[in-house]
Amino acid sequence: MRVSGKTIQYNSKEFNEIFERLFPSMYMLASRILKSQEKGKDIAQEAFVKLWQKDSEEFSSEKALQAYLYVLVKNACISQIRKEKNIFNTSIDEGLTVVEKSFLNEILREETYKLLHEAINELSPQAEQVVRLTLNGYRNQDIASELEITINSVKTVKKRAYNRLRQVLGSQFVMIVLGDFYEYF
Amino acid sequence: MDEINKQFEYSELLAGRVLDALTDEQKKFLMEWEQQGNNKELREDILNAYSFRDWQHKLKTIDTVEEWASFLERMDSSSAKTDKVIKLSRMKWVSAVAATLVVGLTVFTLFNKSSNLKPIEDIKIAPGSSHAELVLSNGEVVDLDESENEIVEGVVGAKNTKGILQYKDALGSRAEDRVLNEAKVNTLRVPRGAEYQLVLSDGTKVWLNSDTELTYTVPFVGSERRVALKGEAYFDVTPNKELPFIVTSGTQEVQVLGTEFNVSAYSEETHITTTLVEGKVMVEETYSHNQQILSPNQQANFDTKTKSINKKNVDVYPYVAWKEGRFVFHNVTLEELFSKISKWYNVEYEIEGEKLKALKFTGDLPRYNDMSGILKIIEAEMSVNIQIGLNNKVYVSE
Repeated sequence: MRVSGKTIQYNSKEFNEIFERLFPSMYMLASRILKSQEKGKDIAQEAFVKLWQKDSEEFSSEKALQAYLYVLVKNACISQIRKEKNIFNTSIDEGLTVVEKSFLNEILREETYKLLHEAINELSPQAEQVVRLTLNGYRNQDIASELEITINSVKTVKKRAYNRLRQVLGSQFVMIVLGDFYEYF
Repeated sequence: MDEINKQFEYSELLAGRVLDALTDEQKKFLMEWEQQGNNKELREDILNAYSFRDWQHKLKTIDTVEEWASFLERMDSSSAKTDKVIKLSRMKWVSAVAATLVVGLTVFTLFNKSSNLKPIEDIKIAPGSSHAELVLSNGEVVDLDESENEIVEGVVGAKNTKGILQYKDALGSRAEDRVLNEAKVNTLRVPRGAEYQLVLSDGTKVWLNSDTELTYTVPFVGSERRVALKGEAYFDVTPNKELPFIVTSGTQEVQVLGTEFNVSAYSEETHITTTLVEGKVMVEETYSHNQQILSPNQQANFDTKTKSINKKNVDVYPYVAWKEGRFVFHNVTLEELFSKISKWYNVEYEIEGEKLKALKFTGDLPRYNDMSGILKIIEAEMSVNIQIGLNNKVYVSE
């Protein structure tokens, strides 16, 4: 398989690193959709095996590989749900488009959390508190008084977290709007 | 795929929002996105401290080292499967020859059925489960399943729990009491698509396979312990030198002292096979007194027409694996294979053409899974086409 122009083997160190980065999302996503850790794990594992079914597969980037994995996981989940609900007719099949929609939503959740996690991982516990309070709907001013720090410190913590994110993700971090913004209008 | 890539981009915007890192353009862009559909609710649902904490907690429980090991294992076993397929490709030649022979017939039958045939993926055929009917001596029929019930038959009580019917040793555990007590005849009937376990009053354990009937007395009386079997059962007999245990199937008798063995005596089959795992048994035909004594890892084949009994050495595992939750086949024909699994999944089947029926299969399949998984394996390994018709009837064709 080729990823970002580089040929790799399934049992290589390179793929091991990709696996460690991507497996948790696939596992957690499938578990949430199927409401079962065990089934989720099985489906995530199978998706990684299926990824290697064709040796000639080529991915322009790790992101492209990840998108493909999400498709594999989605299809496996839908066929699992179909099996469990014994769905043959189209009226219930319409329910599966709901699954499809919620799948995209869950991908968004997964990816957002992964970014936030990367951003605060290995930073001070304060960074985690700041992110949590922000998620609780606190404004910077409220966070500052809650943590008894200045509002500038809150801003610095956020900035550091964001810089860390850019650093960890490097070129993978695209921040669309700069490049693609005008295409949408 | 494009939709997924867009989600990647939006996730960066959402994370950027939390970290106050968005430009005015990006903020505007995110706001417009929120105005579509339920996106605002979705954003609120995702950017939520509890939900994020929950996610972080789950992430911590994932052992990627262990998962990586299990991935490598799966890859190795899936490439082993590919090897097998390559080996089987010679079989494809056989199939191709068979195809030319039956092509006229196939086209005809396909026209008839194609409207209601479905591919395996669309079908769910649940495996069998634990249920049975107990016929008491007064003719009363008790339905047995996973739920609990207590049954009293004469002096013997029986308890039914979790797919096991267990007789308690009676008041008459002493011989003289036993004579005084009238023995009652009970029959445990296991339909197609089911299995059941039984513990007889002497402690002997019996696993009954699908489409099987076992008749016995409660309690055992006289100088022997005699049961009558139709179908397939595995016996783990409680040793008792004074009271031989006898399994009769038609005119075949298997006499044992204390041992483990499997008897397969389905009436539609022309042979009764008795496979010995442990101990010693004697297989005898009642009229001719033809007999064979089996040692462990030996199997007796009784021909119900000629009444002859042949003995051979076998690997016992394929014959007793059903009791361990596996279907194990070693070089059996497709016809034999389907005869076995159709009983457990309670489906009819049709294999087109004699050549196809005679194809040989070797494999170890799970018994408690949906049938579609097994059918997929058979389809891939045998290079045949399997479709499902009305009432889950399985059609095997080229």
